[in-house]
Amino acid sequence: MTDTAERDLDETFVDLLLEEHFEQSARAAPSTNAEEVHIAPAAPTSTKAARVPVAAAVLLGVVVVVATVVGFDPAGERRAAQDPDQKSMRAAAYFPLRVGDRWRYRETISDVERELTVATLAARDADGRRVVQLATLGGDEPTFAFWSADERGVCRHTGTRLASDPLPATRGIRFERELPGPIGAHHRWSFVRVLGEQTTPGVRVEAGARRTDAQVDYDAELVSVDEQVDIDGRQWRCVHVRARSEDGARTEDLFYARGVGLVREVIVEQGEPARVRELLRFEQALPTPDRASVLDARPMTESLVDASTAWLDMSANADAAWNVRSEFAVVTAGDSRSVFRLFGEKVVTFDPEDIEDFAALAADEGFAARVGGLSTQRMTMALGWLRWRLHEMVTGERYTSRNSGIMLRGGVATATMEGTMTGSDGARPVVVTAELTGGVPTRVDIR
Amino acid sequence: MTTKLPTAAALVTDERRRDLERHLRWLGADRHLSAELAQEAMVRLWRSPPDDTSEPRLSSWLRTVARNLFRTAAAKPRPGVPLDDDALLEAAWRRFRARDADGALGAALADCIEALPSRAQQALQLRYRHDLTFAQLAAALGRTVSGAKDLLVRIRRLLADCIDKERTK
Repeated sequence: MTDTAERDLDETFVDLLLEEHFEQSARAAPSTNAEEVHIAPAAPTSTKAARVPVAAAVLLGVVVVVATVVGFDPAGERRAAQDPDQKSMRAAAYFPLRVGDRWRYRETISDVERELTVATLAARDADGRRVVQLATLGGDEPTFAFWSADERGVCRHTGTRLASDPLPATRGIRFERELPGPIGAHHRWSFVRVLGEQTTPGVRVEAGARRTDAQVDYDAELVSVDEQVDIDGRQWRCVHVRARSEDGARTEDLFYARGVGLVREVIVEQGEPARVRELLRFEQALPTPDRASVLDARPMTESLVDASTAWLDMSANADAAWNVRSEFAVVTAGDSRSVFRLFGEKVVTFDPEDIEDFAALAADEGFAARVGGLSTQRMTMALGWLRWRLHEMVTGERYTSRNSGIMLRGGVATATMEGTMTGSDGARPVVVTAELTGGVPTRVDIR
Repeated sequence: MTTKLPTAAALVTDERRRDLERHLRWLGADRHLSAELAQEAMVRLWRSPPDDTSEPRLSSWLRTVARNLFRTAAAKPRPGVPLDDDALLEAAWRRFRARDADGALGAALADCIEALPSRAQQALQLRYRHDLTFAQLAAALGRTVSGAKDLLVRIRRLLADCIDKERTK
């Protein structure tokens, strides 16, 4: 039997087990009216999505009322999620890098607590590696770090950017292996961090501070491979790593749980109160769906005869690659071209000339949570880039940028890109403008 | 030394009937049809048992009878179950039962479901507990029908992987 046939059969058994499981749970906890909950439509949130027949039906009142959803036990969710990678001692098993994963932490400094969210927002291929953007949200301003994993361990992408810059460095890239694998094979190792980078965990950098060439050498040791960490009554089995800066000024105790990542972090720096970060909740993302399959799920309004699909290139060098997670497909059928935006499992039509569609994109992707520092500027520039690139794909014209700039005033970021648009009827000067107000696109146009 | 052969009555056990019902459920029979066909297979065993009543041959014989009954009933098979390939069905079922000793897979599944994101759990609840059609499910989740189907396929694959890992822990 082929692997595919065996997997297909395995899925039929999972189907059977699911039927049995939910029959049992229904018997154990029969639903009552008092337990009724409304399952609101999750997507699409775009106003354009109302054009989609099924979504339209939802908006017209087909809101399904179902009995309560039992078994939503966050502790259990975390417990089971703790070990999805069997007994693997691969370093990558202790540092999940799947887009969409989210960690909610409680950070305590001198009895002052705050909650932070760390999320993997994007992943792109760069220099032959799959580099993942990790954002820390909820602090003074969003900060970003870039990680990758290979057979020898988990690496931080060392570059030359500011902590709040969502773009990785494009020059001087270096990969520092902070968690070598397999776990247990290395008892001592060293790595380097460059000041100015976001560090989660890492070096403290003042918001907006320019980086220097300073770097800090760290010596790390594996303290334990199976240490219990208790957080709010929840137990985690962890790998314990202790890293010390070479000058002895800083010590980090890091506890990684298999399949979950960093569960606890204690940073002690000379003259500073200890900073403790503890995991409150881990939300594991579903595997990223195949974009062609998602696109196939769109409402088929166009003729399929001679239809062709072109995908917007979002390679690591694209301006929007690290700021926009949606993917864009331009479907050509006959004389018409339609743009579709894919986000996770949803697909909606996208009109590059409609500001509401950009607003829906920003809402889906949590732009508001990423406002602050360089992130605001990058997001605004990305919207402008998206606008002219989609224009090119739809019209066949070519845009050449001459000059660009960004202005920040009273919470409004405005990116202006002056250039030339060249088509079959010649070239004309154009200005691409993107405006972001508090994380909401308020203007994205070409004039 | 003499060996006492089991009587037909002794062969007809609740355990065998339940296993048969489960096998029929896997093929695609609903609860009522699987109970009915399993009962019919047990009646046939009662009336004319096979020559070889040792295990695992007897169970295999019963499943063959049950599959023939299911085909005769012309019920819709579960998507992905190759109803026309007895050898494959039998091998797959034996592998499944070996893995599911003492309900290990069900227990692993329960853990794996808890580890899913809440939205995925909701989708499972709607489909499996509340028996929503794909059209209803799509409406509830704000997806297209094929999007809802695709979501469930991916959740099942995720669960299949997770169950494997849970079981080998």
